Amino acid sequence: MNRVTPFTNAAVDQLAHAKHELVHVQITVIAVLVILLLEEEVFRILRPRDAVVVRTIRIAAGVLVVAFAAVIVSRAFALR
Amino acid sequence: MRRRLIAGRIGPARRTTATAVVAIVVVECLVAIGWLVAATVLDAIVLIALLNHPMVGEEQSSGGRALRVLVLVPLLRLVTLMLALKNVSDAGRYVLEGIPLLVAALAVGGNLRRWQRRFSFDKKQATIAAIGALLSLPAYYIARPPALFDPMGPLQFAAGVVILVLFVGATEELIFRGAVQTALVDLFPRTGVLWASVLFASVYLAVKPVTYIPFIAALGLGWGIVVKRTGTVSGSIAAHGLLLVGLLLLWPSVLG
Repeated sequence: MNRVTPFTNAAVDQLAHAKHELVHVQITVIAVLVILLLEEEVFRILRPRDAVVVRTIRIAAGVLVVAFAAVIVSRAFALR
Repeated sequence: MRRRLIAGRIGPARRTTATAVVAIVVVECLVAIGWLVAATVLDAIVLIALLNHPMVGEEQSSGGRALRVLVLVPLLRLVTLMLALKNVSDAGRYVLEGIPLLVAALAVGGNLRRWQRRFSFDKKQATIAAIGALLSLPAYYIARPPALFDPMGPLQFAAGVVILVLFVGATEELIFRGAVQTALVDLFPRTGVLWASVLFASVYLAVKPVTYIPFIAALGLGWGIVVKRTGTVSGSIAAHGLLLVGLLLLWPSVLG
């Protein structure tokens, strides 16, 4: 792995070799995603938000959903 | 009176934005020293705090815009850490992480008409791109990274160019120069470029070797100044993309 971009650096390399730590990181990101989805769907009913905030939350949640889907797909390929 | 009113509104916005920038830099320092779980938790807190700040909803205010685009930096870090999988190649990683972040940068950074204005390409932008291509040689001698593909055929080279220019160069430039710098310059007209460059340098703190950090930080500041003066990001996108093409495709195959 090259370590010269923010996408491929020493931290990514460290996590790739530390399964436990990676699982903790992924659980934290899933927690963030759940909070964002709750904010978008549930809290919006309780507390109406500006359209721009809803849009930004949706974008952030969308990015994390895509990343999470990528994790699942690559794990499925690894299992094969 | 009007100036005092505006100052009264901008003051808290500047303080909040500066605090957010400092928090993001602290997270990146934690990433650099390898405290990755702590960094992820803190990044998650920063992301949720940014999205829940009352100022974020102020569509027209520069403070609201700055907080909205700052969301992109913790997102970038969370996605890269989450996808730190052993079985994914560097090229695959760039595509998987680049696509959602590129779309997010375009969506958060403004509407399509605003982006169209920022994509003009002229002689000046071509010169900036050429300088980026030339700087790839010193970059290679500093970092000495392995080639993106091994073995490297013409097809791999062509795919590598698309991946590096689009999913790394363009993604980083649209986030840091296109979205973050534009919003920070609105809020901090004198020091906005510097704030954005500090954020850009901070996401590079975990790269190896460490001598590459001042090199890329200086380049980031240079691209920031160029983007502020010319008003377009196309030159810096091309320069960043060509720098990466030289660094990870051309020079490792020719000199490695």
